[in-house]
Amino acid sequence: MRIQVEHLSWGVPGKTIVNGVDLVVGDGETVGLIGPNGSGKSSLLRCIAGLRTPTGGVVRYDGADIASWSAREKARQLAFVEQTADTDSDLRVSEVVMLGRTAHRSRWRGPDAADHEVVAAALDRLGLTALADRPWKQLSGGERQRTHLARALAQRTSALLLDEPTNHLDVRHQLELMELASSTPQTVVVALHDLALAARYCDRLVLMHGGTVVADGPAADVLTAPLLRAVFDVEAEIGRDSLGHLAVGYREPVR
Amino acid sequence: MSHPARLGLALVAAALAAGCAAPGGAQAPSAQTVAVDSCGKRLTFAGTPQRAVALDQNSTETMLALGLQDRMVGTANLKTKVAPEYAAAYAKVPVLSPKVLTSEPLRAANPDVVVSSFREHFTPDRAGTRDELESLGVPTFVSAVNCPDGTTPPFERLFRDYENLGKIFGATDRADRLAAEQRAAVKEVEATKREPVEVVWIYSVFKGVPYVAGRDGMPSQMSKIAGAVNVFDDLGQEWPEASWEEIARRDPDVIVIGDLSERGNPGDKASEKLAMMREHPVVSQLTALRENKVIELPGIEMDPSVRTVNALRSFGAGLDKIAGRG
Amino acid sequence: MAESALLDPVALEAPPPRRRGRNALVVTVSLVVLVVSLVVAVRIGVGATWAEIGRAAGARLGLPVVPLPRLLDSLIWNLRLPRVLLAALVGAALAVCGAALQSVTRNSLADPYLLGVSSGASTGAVVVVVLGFAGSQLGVTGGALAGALAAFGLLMLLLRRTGLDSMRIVLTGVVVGQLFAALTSLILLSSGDADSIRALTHWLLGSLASARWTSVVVCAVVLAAGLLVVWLCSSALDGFAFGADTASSLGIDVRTTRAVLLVTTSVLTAVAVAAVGAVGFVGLIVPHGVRFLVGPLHRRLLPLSAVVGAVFLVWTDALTRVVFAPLEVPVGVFTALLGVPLFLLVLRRRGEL
Repeated sequence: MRIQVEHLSWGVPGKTIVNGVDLVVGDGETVGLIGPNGSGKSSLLRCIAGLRTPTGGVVRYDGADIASWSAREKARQLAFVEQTADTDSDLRVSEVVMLGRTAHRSRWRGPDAADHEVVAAALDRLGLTALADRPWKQLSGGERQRTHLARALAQRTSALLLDEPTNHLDVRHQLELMELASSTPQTVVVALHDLALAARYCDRLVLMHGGTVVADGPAADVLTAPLLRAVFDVEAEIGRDSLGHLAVGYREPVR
Repeated sequence: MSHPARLGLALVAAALAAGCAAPGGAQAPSAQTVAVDSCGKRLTFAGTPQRAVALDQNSTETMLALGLQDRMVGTANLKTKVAPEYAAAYAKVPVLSPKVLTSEPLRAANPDVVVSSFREHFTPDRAGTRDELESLGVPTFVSAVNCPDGTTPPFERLFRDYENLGKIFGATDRADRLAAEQRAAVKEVEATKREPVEVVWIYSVFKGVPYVAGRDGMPSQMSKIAGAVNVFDDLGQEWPEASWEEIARRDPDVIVIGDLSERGNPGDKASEKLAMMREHPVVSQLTALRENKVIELPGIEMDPSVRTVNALRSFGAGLDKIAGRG
Repeated sequence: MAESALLDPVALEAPPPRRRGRNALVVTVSLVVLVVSLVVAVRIGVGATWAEIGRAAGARLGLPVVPLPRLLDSLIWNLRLPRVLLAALVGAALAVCGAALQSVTRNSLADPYLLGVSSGASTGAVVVVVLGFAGSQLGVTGGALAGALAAFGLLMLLLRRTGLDSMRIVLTGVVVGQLFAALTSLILLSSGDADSIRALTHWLLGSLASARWTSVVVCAVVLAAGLLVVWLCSSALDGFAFGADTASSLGIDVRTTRAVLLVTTSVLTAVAVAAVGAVGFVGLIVPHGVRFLVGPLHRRLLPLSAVVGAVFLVWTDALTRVVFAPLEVPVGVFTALLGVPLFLLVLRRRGEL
């Protein structure tokens, strides 16, 4: 599914947070949103997910304006995983993943065998099968994040929007998750802080600063010392690690 | 019709009703049908009621004063002790509830008439509504005192209760005698010429706040009968809440204090109230208090009941004593 | 396209039958307990032996039994039976509202009175009593219903342009509740006398003594409709667990669903409070207890809360009829007395205390 963001703006009274963003994500592409805190990544992602009504511009999925979709239709087309979504509820892992089937069944009936199949597949995909019956409160931060991702997969959407999904994960799970994001045929937009991880797994990077897109292209074109200096205010050196992956090193901040 | 003749008829009626209590024997002669207006409802009785329930102390005492204890299958909601003269009769009546009687025990007692001093008893969560009971064939008698018609004075309404209950229960003789006695007592107090003194009636003190007699209760009426003036006649309630300062401002000539010692809560005794007033910085300066122009009366007799006339007598006597001394 | 990636050829089985079996057992047991409770509770109290109940029922079913005396028959048929049924209906309504509102506001302390509806009901009831219409069959009930709906109207008016987010609902509910509580005090202070206050004490604490068939029918209709609406929102209520954004991304129209639930729970609460007064604790503890039994999914939680709430209030009310007989203690006093230890027990078992 092709996502088109045209001249998108959004803000709160007195402050524009996303300012005239244009962005195209091709079918099956994995695009990384990078940028410092407050650059508007999360807000842009929420607008793309249809959770915020833009103050200007449109978001199109395969040409269709997302504003014309019902909540249910949106949830069948795209799945969104928040940075932190916690609960006091005693839901079990499988029950949380089953929430992903909400938009796929009528109000009148409970989950059927097909729903259970999809949930089991999603649990398996994230390595959560053994934890299926575990209550939310007993999960680690990483397990919670993976549960949310499994829930998003259970939505069976063509697009996947992830807001800093690797935050609570250990290295192995970070790699697994990004591997999943890049290998899935779904169109993926993922906001990330780890530039090396973004460079390694994303087909393209979009660098945001002050609510606008300042660079958009392959990792090697976006992660350049001058751009990182301008946007992140850091002195960085871009190189390759021993495995040939792009690596970013930083010097001490100069005051 | 002479009194003995009426009594005779009543006895016949009672005998008939008792004899016909078994199912199928409800053909009481139509001449015996009694109809009475009570607080907005017309009550009709084909026979003399044999199973009355009285919902409160005042209606119970009125029934006992008319000697109707054998026709009662229940009483409830006693605020204080029954007057000593009715104690023996009262002992024969089953107490259905020490407090407010609710509809379930009331119906379980299977009454054929319900007698009450207050309309407020007849709500769905208490005794049930009057309409409900009426539809079940149970007439509800409510004291006329509770239904002012704007013309009849309260004491006269009290006496009408006796007469109406007398008619209903076939005890007209005794009822008429009681009404006549009490009418005479009222006349007697009324006949004495007195200075128009100003009186405050203090019923109770709850959490330091005095409750005084307003325009709608018996004390206002008693004041008028005895030629005095109730200083809180401008308040349109039975026992409105007042403040000590307001009492002091109105500076009454005489203070009447209700003694509720039988109720037994702290501060219920008249002496306790008096002591409290004497310690109060403002109230203690009242002329009435300094000159000891204080009348103590049983609080229960200040409410409309068969005993209210006692309070009226004592009040008149108290005023005379104060005047004589002054 | 997305499908292919996820359709791994892994053999997948439906969830273990253990839990489903347990749910079926819980449902069966609770329904049996409900029916038995209703029947037994009719027997509890003054003057209704099994034989008499049998005759009252038999006469209505056209069986050849000796009819009861009129007053005793009316005691069983027009007082006791509607009272027991009303207790069940109100208990169910409060428990369902509590469960729904705990999810909508994401606040485990939420109960049906959080929205200020009960304060509105008190104001309405006080107005009726002070004006002196309390004697009529529908007096206090009608006034309370009007007051509850007024409070609810104000609540929705204050919330109308907002996103109905959890915290705003709670705060607005508190504000509305406080306003009506102040109005109640004002009316009582300015024109209530000791008698009218006493007349209201029972009602304010919750009492089923005024139960009649009228309120049973009204409550039954409203509860049936309300329960269905809330139950159809089950998956939305589950989805609210992780907040508005996640709920929305699950395909839940958050604002509309919240509005529907607020309206439904307010109407349910208004009718329940108007019928019997503000019976406390049922709406708070029953959902917690039931979650402890069957987990937090609302498809199971809501119907079972309804059943458990019904049973709980039926028994508590039966207690009020016998413990201090012939005096009746307001049922709200007993729900609190029983509710507090039960609540502590549930919290402790859940490891939250």
